[in-house]
Amino acid sequence: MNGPSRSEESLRQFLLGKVDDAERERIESRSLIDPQLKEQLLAAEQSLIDDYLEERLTADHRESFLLQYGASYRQRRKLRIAKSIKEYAEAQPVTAPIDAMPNVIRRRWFRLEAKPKLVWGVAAILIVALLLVVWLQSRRSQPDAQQQ
Amino acid sequence: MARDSVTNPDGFDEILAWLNPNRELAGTMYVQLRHDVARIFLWNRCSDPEGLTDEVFDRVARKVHNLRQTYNGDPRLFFYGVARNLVKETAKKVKTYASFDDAGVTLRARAQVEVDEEEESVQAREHCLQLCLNKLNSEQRRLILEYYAMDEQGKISHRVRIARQLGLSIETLRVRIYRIRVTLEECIERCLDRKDINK
Repeated sequence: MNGPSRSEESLRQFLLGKVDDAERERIESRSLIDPQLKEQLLAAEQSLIDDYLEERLTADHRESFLLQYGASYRQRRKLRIAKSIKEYAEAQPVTAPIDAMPNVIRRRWFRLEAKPKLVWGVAAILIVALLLVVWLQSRRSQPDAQQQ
Repeated sequence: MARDSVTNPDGFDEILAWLNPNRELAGTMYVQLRHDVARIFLWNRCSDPEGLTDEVFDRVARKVHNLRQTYNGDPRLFFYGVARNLVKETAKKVKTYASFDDAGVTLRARAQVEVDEEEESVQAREHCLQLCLNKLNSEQRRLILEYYAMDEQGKISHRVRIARQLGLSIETLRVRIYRIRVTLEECIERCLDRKDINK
């Protein structure tokens, strides 16, 4: 695994409460008005929570993480829920790997899956078309049989 | 614990108008700002982020009429200033009333996680998880389950592969997963709250 990038590392330090007050205030205030920084912070937080749940944090970071994210009941509950999601996902039978389908087909399939009416409609049209072809084929072969 | 906000309707309207002249946009900004301010309290280890956020908005609501004429700059930064002051006030109170050091707090937090775990039935959580997973659309459901699938060894490369297949950077994938997880968590929390009430 590649280590976190320098900026991600500094955001991680912030999230673990390991920066001075001036830096903390700079990051916090910017996060309210700079959507890009906010996205980066959310990603760093996600990565930190994942590392905690997957027990990849050092002892020192784990202590800091618990201080930071174990402070309120709601936050602890969020961690438990995140842990449940992870455990549930791990327990699921392995499905087809996500990259078994080319990206474009995959996206289209996702879109189709979200529209069952469309899928059924297309399926019905295909069945009708198939029946029509069979019927036309049988009609075409009937005069041949009569001539013989 | 969140308390009842005392922001009056006029104050609320003025905050919206201050955030943005377009009321619809202002409403979106208001909701977003509340989330962001609550997150700041969380980052500062405050035990009641929602209650403190209410307090910030109440304080601003009391001054907003004058602020609109006198304050220059992004209003969100004023909210941040109020939140920052509240963090300091809260820290002072904690220092006055509590004597435990950081190590004690960590031990307490860890012990608390275990106690909470026992209090909340695992079955209830699983039931709510199933229920809420079914409320996600199939793409979101598949993505989050894929993201957390695999054992520890293969997980990292698996996620890099998912990101590549979706044409995303790993950071963007994380943010996408974060958003799905927040939706899922909120649904599970509501479900668990309902179960608490029905006990």
